Amino acid sequence: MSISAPSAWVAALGIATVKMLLVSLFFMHLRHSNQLTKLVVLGGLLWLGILLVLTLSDFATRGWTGVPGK
Amino acid sequence: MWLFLITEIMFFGGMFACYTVYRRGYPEVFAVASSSLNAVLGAINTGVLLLSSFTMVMAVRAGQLGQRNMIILFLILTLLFGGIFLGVKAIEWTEKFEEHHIPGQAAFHLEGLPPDQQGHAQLFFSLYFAMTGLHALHMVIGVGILSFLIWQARKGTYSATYFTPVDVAGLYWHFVDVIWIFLFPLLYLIDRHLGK
Repeated sequence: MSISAPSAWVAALGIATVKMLLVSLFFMHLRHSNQLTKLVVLGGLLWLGILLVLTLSDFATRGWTGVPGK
Repeated sequence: MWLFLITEIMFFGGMFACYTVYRRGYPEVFAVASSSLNAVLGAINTGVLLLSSFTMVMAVRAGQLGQRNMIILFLILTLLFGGIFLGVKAIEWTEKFEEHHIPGQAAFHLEGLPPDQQGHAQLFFSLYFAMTGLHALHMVIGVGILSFLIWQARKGTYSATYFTPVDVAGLYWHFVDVIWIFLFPLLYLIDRHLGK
């Protein structure tokens, strides 16, 4: 498997995500928390998602327009 | 506490974003640098932290049941596992010192890379020390919080009707565990092959 193979880091991050869900839902009792708490946590994760997706899309589209710095 | 943990997501999130951008930019260098980390120690630490989260859950459960001695026992066990984690971290960092993998030092050299990529390798190690360092700082704070809880529990402050500090500290401890759950694969397991 090479670095460019997505299966490697997809698997690793997938396992980490499962672990995170287990710890948050069961150890942190999120499963038995009220809706507001769940919404707050979801909001935080969405925030992180926006940070990563928008930042990466910025870098991934560098040079597309041919204008310096874009 | 949940709201505070959201701010912690923001705190660590910034560094995760930085890591993601630079790993995307220098994948080969990051892979070489990552393989110089001790994945066995990292895996042991992952197991230790998951175990400590379990003992923390048991401490909260003891709180729910109002069992003073069990609260103290499980808090002490959690503290112990946290201490083991920090000890293993110290060993890892000492290894980095001996291998001259400290970013910014004049004698920095990562084996297997040409001179023009040493700077990029230093970038990996800057991120490694910043992220594991911030995480370790949170662990130390957690150890302090646990010590305080143990002191309070010994005084008999907690009962089945009031164990909120234990509950809340548990949330903090689990969160720091989750951070490590993501740190470990991202830092240690880049392009690892089984049996390497």
